[in-house]
Amino acid sequence: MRITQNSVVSKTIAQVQERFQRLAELQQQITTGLLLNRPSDDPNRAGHIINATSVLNRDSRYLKNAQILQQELQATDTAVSQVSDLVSRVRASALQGANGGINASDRYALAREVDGELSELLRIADQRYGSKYLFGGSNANQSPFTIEKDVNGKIISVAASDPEAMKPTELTIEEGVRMSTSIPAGDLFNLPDGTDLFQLLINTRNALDGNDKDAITASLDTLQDAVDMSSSASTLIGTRLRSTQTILDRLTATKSNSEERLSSLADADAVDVISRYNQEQAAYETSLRATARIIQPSLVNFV
Amino acid sequence: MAGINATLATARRAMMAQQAAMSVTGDNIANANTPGYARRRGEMQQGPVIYGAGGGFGTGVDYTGIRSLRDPFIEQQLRRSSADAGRYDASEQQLSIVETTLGGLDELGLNTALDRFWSSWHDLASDPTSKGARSIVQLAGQDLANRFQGIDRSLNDQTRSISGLITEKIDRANLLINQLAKFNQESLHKVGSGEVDDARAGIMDELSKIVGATFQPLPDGSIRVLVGAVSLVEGSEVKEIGYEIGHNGVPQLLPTSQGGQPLVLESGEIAGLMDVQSDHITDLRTQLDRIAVTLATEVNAVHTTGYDFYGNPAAAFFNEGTTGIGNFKLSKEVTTDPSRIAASLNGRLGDNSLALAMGDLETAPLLNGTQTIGDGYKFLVTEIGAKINENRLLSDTAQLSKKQMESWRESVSGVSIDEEMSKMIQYENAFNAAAKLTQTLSKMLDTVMTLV
Repeated sequence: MRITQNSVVSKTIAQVQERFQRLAELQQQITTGLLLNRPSDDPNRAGHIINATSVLNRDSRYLKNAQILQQELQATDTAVSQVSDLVSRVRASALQGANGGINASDRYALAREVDGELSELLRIADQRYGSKYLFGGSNANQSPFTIEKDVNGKIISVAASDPEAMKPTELTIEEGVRMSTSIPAGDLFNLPDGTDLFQLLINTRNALDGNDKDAITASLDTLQDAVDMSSSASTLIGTRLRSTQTILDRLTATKSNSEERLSSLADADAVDVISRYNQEQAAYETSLRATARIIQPSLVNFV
Repeated sequence: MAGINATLATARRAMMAQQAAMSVTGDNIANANTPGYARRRGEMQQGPVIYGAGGGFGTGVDYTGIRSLRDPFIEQQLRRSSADAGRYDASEQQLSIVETTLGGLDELGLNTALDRFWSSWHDLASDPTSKGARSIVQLAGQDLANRFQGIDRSLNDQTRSISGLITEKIDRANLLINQLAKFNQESLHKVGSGEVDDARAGIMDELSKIVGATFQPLPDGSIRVLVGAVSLVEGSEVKEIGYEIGHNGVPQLLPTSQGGQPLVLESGEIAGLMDVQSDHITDLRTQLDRIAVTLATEVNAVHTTGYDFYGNPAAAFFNEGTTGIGNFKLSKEVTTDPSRIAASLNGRLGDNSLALAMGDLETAPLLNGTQTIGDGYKFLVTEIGAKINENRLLSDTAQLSKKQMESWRESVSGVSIDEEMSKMIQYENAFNAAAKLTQTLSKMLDTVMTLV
């Protein structure tokens, strides 16, 4: 085959160009830290990267939801143990009131104590959590419990404002999995006999006020039921908290797995890329040097 | 026997022939780097032998003219591969613009906006009474709409610019066709002239790159131009490539004869541009439209079952008349007041069931019941990527064979400086020798004269 200066030059330019292009690609990987610059560099990998990014975003979202859930459950847990303590204290007062050795004025004093506990119970039941009520469910505009007082300011009845709304709100913590942020108010405040904790406290207070020893004695059993109920609610919420922690741990692990996966798909391995860059650079320089030698001489230099 | 005068004439013709050849060498050296130039050779032929007393005597050399060194077969192959390369290069360039428009690996892709949109609903679910969370949902929805519309605008711009390129190239091709027809008329008088060959070869190179035309040399020195089986130039007759601007500004090729089929281009830049326009961009737009309509419909279907911040039945979230990415936007209600965004299914402000249901749409197979919205987008990105990849492979192959053919052509037609230098010395020596001959003959004549 007949070779001309032009064919040597154009071939050399093409080869040098090709080397330089490879060098530029590696340089881009080094500066961006990413393996792919555009999806067409490796469409299949690009698809996986897009997927992994979405999965990671979703994991962070679920993790965030689980953290919100945990915080709210902890607030609920505090409330439940407060209720549990409170009911025990009321039962102690009632036990004292059932004692035959005390008089009406002692019982009156005990009744005031129960009154205080009743207000405290209402404060717990009615407490706000962020922009909503801890036990209010989807009821955000009005307080979940409606209180009726007599002329002296004594609480005479408490009722749920909107029983339909009392279902605790839920959050998505995994694809297709939702968990309540709290326990249903009924689990904590409703008694097995159909009455509720508020009514029980009102009844106890009325019995103490009325100096009615039999009624006080009768309320002791129900109060014991209430103590049992609130401690079982406490157990329930403890279990929920523990499983939330497990889920949280798992989500954290999943998220860091997803991060690792995304990084292994998308990130350029610095050591690998830089050593390849050096290699290519050496090859590029060699080809430049060789080109400078080849192109120079022709017969013109010798005649 | 030839006389001294006859030999003098031989020497003179020899000097003239070497000089002519030297001027061709000069031409070659001067055009060593001229694209499309085929090296030339001064053709010489032995002069006629004259028979007389004492046998035949040569009359020296005849300079017969210039010959361009070309190989028609290699040139044909080269044009074919340059037509293929033209097609795939043109589409690769445009496809990478589409790829940039679509994004995917950077923060500017649709996927990022989608992720933010779903996230905003989860945030609203965790704080359903918040106006701030609603504003974030509104912003995320707006961002999504902006990206859809941005893609729409970019694709429209690109369609317009490709249409412009196509018509420009068709006009150029028609100009070249007419020039070839003109050469056909003139070729009758100028067969074998180097300049005509070079100019014509240049036009043919360009024409095959644009429309993938093939050329048939005819015995009378003219060239027939074909696209597929349709002849565009026959002698001095020309059939121009006709086009009309079809709907949405896309040029369509017309039949070259009355009632015939539209011209089909199999290779060349126009074919590549038309591929991108009619296949890739149209496809992509159809699929994006489907994604946009599905997203708007499904989000609206969930949204309208709920109640907004004011406790009123919620309006649509996205434009209810969404027909594609071009008019994908927030509904008027949501645009003007983020409090019109619903989170509640039962009308109570603290209820987040609707926001939860909205968050679930992210992983729901809404497209054809098999793909999520995110999957649909991912599919488009990888599809375009794969098309570009495939195109790049075809383009590389075409480029490789083009390069190979170019080096073959260079091998036949290229100017080698070494070769021209040695030719120069060769012609110089021959010229000098002929001059010496003249000198010697002149001395001989002098000698003869002194005898008188």
